[in-house]
Amino acid sequence: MLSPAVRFVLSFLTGLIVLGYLYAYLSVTYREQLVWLLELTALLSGGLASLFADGVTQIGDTITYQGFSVRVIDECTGLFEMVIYLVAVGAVRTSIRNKVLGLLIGLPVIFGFNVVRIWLLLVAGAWSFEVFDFLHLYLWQATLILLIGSVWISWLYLVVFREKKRSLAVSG
Amino acid sequence: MKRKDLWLFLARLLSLTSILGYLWFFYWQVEYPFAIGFIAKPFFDLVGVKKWYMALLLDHFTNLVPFVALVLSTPGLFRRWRKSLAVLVGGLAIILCFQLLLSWAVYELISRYAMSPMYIKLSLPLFFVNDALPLVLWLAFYPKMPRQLFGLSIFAADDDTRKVGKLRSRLKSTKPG
Repeated sequence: MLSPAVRFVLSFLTGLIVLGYLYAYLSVTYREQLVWLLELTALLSGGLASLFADGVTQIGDTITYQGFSVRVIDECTGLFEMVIYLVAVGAVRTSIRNKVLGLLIGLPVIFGFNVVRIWLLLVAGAWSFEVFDFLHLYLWQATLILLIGSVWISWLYLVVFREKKRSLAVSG
Repeated sequence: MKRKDLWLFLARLLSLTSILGYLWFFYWQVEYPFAIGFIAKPFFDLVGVKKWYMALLLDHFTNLVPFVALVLSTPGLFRRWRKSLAVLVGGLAIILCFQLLLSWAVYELISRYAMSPMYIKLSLPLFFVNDALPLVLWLAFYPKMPRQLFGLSIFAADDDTRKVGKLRSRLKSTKPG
């Protein structure tokens, strides 16, 4: 019999391939229908930036600050991170209720983090293009670990682990 | 769970991710394809890859940096140095193998579909796996670490349930009468 860790890794990788393909298929087939998400991300990031600075403009999926423009594309919507988080939640053996709760809370949190990330990139880009490039290209990997990992662990800690503790206390 | 362990882990992870990321981005990533060329070239000759699409791939080869940062941040790095070294070498070897397989897949897909929606559909899941690999490998190599750091027994849950069941049945069987 497989150990729980190996089982988790295998189901996570399988889920990633299946949902990754599904995501790619849907995002290519229904590309036009996703424009609202790009514009919403740009609107919220631009709105956040304008809270702290003047002269921020947002038109469609493009935000401009101090002459520096960023265009929100498919990869900038946080959907990538959301798919990976969804698979990570799905790979944990717990009740459907806990999983739904994890998605209902986790997905908007990841979306929110992503809006903050774009705002920071906009500020970084207006300051130095080199810093923007570094944060934009490298930080994807780091945010993948920190962002998805922290939301996933928070879900495990606040929902799954708490319920397990409660059920052990009741049965004990 | 030791709170000190957790904070130390997070502090190390944040600083190492930034430092190694900086070094990678500004220095190492240019050298990396040449450094692994001695493995890549024979492999590409073997499978028939004629072009290494570095413009599409190099950003995703970054995945080895967070993996190294995660391993170096894990508590017990020096105390269990043999395990740390084995994890580092084994994990990097797996990451490298996947990078080569990804390069092969990208070459084949572009040869067949060019940069069409079909290419995106078929290549994206592979990039997903590649990018998530550091976290997955770390969890696989250190299955007890979530428990040590966060107090979460995600992988030991089944074992715990089994142990509780065994204890209960033993208690029942020892009851008098």
